[in-house]
Amino acid sequence: MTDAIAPSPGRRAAAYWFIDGLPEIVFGLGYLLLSVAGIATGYEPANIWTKAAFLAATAVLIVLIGFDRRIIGFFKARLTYPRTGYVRPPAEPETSGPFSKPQRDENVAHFRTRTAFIFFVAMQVVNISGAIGSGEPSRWSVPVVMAMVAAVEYLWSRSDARPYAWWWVALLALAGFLSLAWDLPPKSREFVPLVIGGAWLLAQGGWTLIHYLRANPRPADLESART
Amino acid sequence: MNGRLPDLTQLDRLIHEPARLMITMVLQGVGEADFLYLQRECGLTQGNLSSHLAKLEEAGYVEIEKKFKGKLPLTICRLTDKGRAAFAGYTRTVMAALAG
Repeated sequence: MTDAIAPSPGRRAAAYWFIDGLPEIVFGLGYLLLSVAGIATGYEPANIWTKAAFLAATAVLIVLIGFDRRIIGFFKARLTYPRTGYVRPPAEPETSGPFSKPQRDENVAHFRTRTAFIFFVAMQVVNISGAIGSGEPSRWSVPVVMAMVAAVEYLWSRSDARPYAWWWVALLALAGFLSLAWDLPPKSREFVPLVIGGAWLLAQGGWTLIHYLRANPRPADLESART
Repeated sequence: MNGRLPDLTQLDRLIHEPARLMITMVLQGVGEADFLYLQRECGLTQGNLSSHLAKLEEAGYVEIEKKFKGKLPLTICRLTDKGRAAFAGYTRTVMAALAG
């Protein structure tokens, strides 16, 4: 799912943050949780439980965005550091411009601000497109927005610690078109980009994690296998 | 002849040794790393890395801290200010000599 390995120590350290897929898994799960709760609120009659679930999922996502480094670090301390070691996590510049590139040897990644946040923006764009038109998002707004998201993800990731392969990003656009077959209440359509994004991140993280765990058994397991 | 070539004799030999140069370059780029990460990145054996880190620590170029991430004990290594200055000086000298 990545095109190249960053060559300098700083860029390699930034890419190392993604070696186990945990950042994608954490954000993917958060997005899926919010989108499932959000879609449920679109069905009539909305009841107190679906609204409460949506509020709870929103709170979870806010906590996740605010404390993502700590949450991911908690899992990495148990999973990754004993296997392949610890290196300082890459800085995530909050204010860098959309086209800013990290220096040649900078331990910097833009995962939260670019890769993950785009899906949240896409959700808002679908919502706004409804407000401009008939009042509710049209069926075609999701495929159009997801095609744009795919292009932005591809272009932005070129200079990042984890550049995406074109076919992997194209799946986002494809999923956007396939969502046309999903008969959802109009109010729920704004959450489709988040469903696609969450599933995309989770699939990528899960795939990476499985490969990582197979390639890097725990040192204790290696010792017991030798004796 | 390149006038800066004689400067190469003034190179910091503590950093100039290939394994220590690798360790210094990695630490310069990443900020801090533990023993296991350095071992993987530099392709050194445990004993080899230990002895080179000890030399760098003795010279005051690297500081080594034992700390915990969760319940996992980690040996974190990072360059000191003296180490950064020495590496910058080393890089300047080599680049100047190469540039002619």
